[in-house]
Amino acid sequence: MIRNPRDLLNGTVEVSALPMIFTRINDAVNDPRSSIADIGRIISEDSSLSARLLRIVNSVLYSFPSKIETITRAVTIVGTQQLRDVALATSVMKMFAEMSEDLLNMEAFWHHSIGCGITARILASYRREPNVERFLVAGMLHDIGRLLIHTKMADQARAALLRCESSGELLYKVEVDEFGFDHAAVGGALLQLWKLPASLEEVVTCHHNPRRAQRYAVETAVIHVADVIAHAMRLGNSGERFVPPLDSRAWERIGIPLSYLSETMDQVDRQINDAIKMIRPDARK
Amino acid sequence: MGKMSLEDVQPGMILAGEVKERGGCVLLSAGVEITEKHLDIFRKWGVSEADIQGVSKQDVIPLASLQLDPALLQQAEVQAQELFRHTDLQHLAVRELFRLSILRLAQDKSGAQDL
Repeated sequence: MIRNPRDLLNGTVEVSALPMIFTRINDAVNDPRSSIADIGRIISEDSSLSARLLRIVNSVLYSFPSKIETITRAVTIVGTQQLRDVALATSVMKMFAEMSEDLLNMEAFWHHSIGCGITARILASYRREPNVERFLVAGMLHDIGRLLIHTKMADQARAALLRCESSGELLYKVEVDEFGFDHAAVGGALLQLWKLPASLEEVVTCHHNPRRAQRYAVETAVIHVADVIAHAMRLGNSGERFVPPLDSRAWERIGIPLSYLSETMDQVDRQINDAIKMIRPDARK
Repeated sequence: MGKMSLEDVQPGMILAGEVKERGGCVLLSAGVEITEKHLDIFRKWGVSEADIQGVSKQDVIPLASLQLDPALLQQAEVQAQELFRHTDLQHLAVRELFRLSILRLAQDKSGAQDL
């Protein structure tokens, strides 16, 4: 029985649209007539978002030598698109904050997602990519399809997890076998629903099968490898017990030397705890 | 001449190569003797390693693996094998991730033991 991942999204009121503030920020960033002050003003209207963004840009993720006190300055220094991308990541996390924890430990889920995002950002930094925040966001959103599956198909999700526990199979392969699609496809469909950039959508959809990426092969490869590293580091838990197979072409594509892996893990260790504290909305006890 | 992790760099060591922050700006040139103040600055800028004169990579033995109990390493390897069962350990990058994973698992166990 093949079901379309888009079916999962119908009637999902909670996630039918991104928070208004994000849409306004995004529109302003894309509008060539907007000034940095305009963008700063819009962000500042949401005080909790502003506070979170300021904490993030002042953290070990950026290592700026002096403190950034205002949003406008943050936009100037970090960049409009980059700050927009960080705002996106934090907005999405906030949306899912109220999710039930029956099947999935949300703390562990975001630990893995943020871990993947941080790792991807570090790899992108090494490659001197112009906007590394884009990789942070893609990493953070790569498994978001799992949250939807758990919400809308709880029984089947449970069955899939149980099956993996006894058979030792990879969860994303069991998803395809049992549902006809995997969490990557669901995630991609959700990002499309939110009208997010095609690059984000393709990266999320193809993160387990990077060879399928047509336009954004490099970005997809980075997230794919970051995900493998995050699993090897056992950062949190998104449901997958095992390290997913590494696509050799994706590895070649990102062009990272073998010796850099150890360094990457060290940097992730240094950044992840602060990142989690700042990016996650107040965790429930 | 070898790259050392910043944690192992001591004041008095001489730089063999310039230290740059992630964006590419040079913080300190080669040939300069490192002071505690320099180390503070490096940390602030997120620098994680430096090229030091007179040190070769072989000299900087990772302290971590020396201090680990072989029994723990053994346990860690078994755990890692399970974790990596769906991967191709023949691939060099996977192999390296596997190796690092064992070290981290053993370190975790070692840390837990000390508590």
